[in-house]
Amino acid sequence: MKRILFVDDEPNVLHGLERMLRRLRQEWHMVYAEGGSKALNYLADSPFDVVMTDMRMPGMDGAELLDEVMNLYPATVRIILSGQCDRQSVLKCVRPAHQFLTKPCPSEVIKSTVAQACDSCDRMVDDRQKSLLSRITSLSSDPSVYADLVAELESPHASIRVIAEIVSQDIGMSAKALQLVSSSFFGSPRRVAHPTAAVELLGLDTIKSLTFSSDAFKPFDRNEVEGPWRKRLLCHSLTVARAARAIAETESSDREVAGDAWLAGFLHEVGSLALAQSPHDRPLPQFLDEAETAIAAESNAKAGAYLLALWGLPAPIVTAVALQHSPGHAADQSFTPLTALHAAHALLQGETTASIPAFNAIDMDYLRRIGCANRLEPWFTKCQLVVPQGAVL
Amino acid sequence: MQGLPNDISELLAAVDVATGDLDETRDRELRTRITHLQAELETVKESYTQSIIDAIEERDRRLLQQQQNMFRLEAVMQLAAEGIVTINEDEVIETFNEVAGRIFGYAPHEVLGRSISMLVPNRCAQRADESLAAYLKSGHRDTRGTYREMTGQRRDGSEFRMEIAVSEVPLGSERVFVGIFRDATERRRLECQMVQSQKMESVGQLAAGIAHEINTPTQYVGDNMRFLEDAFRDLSPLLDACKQLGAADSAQRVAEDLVTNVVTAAKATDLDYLMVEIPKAIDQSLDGVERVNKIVRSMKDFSHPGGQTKQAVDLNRALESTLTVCRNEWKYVADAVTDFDANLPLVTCLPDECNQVFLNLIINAAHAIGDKLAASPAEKGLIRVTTRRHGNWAEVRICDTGTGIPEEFRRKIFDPFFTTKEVGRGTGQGLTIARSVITQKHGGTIDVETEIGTGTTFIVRLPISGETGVPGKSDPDNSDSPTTRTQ
Repeated sequence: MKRILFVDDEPNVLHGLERMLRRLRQEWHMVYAEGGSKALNYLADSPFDVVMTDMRMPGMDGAELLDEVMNLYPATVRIILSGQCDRQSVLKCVRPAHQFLTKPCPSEVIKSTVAQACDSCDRMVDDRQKSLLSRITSLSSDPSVYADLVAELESPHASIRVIAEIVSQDIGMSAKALQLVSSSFFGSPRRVAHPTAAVELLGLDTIKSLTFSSDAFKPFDRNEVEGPWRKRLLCHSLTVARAARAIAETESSDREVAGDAWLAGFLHEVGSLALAQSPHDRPLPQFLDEAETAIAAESNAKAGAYLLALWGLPAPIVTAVALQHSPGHAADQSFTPLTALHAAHALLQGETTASIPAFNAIDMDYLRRIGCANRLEPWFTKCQLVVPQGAVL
Repeated sequence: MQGLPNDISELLAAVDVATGDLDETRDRELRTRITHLQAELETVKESYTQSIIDAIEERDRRLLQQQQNMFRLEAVMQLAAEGIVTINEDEVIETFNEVAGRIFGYAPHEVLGRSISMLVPNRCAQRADESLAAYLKSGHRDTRGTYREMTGQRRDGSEFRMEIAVSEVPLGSERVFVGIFRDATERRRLECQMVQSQKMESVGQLAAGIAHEINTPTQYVGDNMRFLEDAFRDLSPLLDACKQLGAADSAQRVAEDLVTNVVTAAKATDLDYLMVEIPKAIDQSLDGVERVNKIVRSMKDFSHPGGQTKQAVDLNRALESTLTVCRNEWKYVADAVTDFDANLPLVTCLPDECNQVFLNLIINAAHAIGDKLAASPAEKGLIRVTTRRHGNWAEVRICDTGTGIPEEFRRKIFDPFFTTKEVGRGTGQGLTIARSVITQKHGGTIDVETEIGTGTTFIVRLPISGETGVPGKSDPDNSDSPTTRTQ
């Protein structure tokens, strides 16, 4: 049974939560702590899967508490539930928290957030990777992209559109921006599925704070994996994203599906990016043989999905990234962003010949199940159209 | 060259007598000597003439200089940026410069030679007379150069407030009084604006805290409501079963299964928990709603458009509101305790500005305690707000257990822009405005008692009647308390 810890300095808030969540006491073991030090005592007794805390409390505030939790119990999901509404205070605790909810928070949102957090715990089998990924507060970026961002932010006529463009060319920054707008604090009622929209929603001041006051956006340092691999990764991700969107557009008129497909494609390699932040933990993909590559790919996918789930990104994206190589495990009965991502990725890997080549990577059973088995040809054509000339995939 | 005319006459006489007998040589000698003497005479005559001319020129030049100086001074006085009026001991206007003309709307000839009372509204004239008479009698120089506020009357009959400084100019046996003044209307308007913007600034600063204070109860009221909804749904089967049981004919033996239904339903409902928690949920929710009400009421009280005139104010309630409105600023670092004199009468004051003063003092107290806790973490501090009546005075004490004020800053704390806080945490205006509001606008006092490491108490005393020493209504026309120039 999952263990959830709620922390607040107002007893009435804790009582209210307890009553509201009582129905779920068969699924979750819930503990309510009044204040940061009491919370740490409970945590010391036995670990929790999720911690949800208020921000402003006397003595130890929420950000300090989550910092402690991140250091001592890195696998625990960290969520802020705050009554503050000024961005400055919230930005201070951006670093150690995975998600940010604002009070008053409807009970459905609390329930679904905790539920998704619990789900993400299940995705990762490897505890060591879990700790590593849970500790990630930002994904480092290409130094030249970072430099562009800083230059634009410091210029007197900084334009949010330009900044949105810069951010959407970087996987790490995009993921971070999406993490923030996935939370009710920074976000909007409408789901945001594109990095440029996320940046525009966050606004210039917030982006400045994120860049200069916290390390939400940062360039990668020498200890991390070098440039050329990252550039290839970015190019590959953008191509897959475009292909996935193109495929989705032929299958569905729902713009949200197409948007999600693009995002899933763009973020499908976020796992390798995250794991590469501590390269001594695993070897680089290019040094592995084929069998190992398949395992590594699966592992990367799971890692990416875990991170995105932690960061509260929408469920269709998380699922697509998780199951990109093994869509058969999904419960899909029809075309979904997962389908688009899986197909795009597989189709782009094959050799280009006049006739449709054989693709081992594609899961035909899955396609048959969802009724898309005969769609490969048009999809292949779409993929060819988006591949940039002479690009290495 | 004394005796020159005698020499010449004698010479001429000698020449006349002896012309026939003269030797040619002696004749020539004499002629030469005469020529020389004549030349000398000319030279002397020239230099005398020159001296006289020089002396006349010098005098002319000095005269011109003096004239120019006079014109200069006259121009300076006329064109100075402030109004300048001079009167003699009989209160007759002797000079009246251009700015004075512009301010009052008179041309100089319309006022020169007339009494100063024409520039002051009738009802104020007597007081002005009295104060001048008293001044003359006492010979005091205390108020020289100090700006005070007075009401002036323009040519068109309209009145306005002016700031005026009067000084005495002794001129031999006479005395002349010079008044330098400006129209204070603009300054007062800007001051009003500043008070307004200060108030808006603090409301803005408090807004985030107030939102938090409202969000928190809203969260648990919502959660409790959801619980009550669920609880009611859970209870429905039980209530239904009971209803069915109740509907059974009482004369008949009650059907077994109806009773079983009730028992089963009861078990399924977790009845014990609901019996305890439902009342609590309702209580706490009502409590939460009341908290929101209180904050909104306090905000209304606080943002009350007080306006320019003094009103009768319940200070206890005002302090309570102010504490509520800024609760988010102190609740994390201190507890607040009030000790109010229940019999404190209503105090005549400017409600807006007094609330602003109390707010500043309470927030300062919170910051002082916060600073102390940041340096050495401990239990929460204490802010104590007390009211007492002392005769005609209402005394408000705001006491904190903060850092205390160091000796070297004690005199400076009321200075404009003096602050020991870091950027963004205070502009150094709060206490300056507090002192100005309390002492100048209310005739009250504001004092500090402080001890490093222990804490600080601010003591504000306000006259209950609204005016120092004068029971009854306050007089807005002539505030005799001096106004310090704000530069």
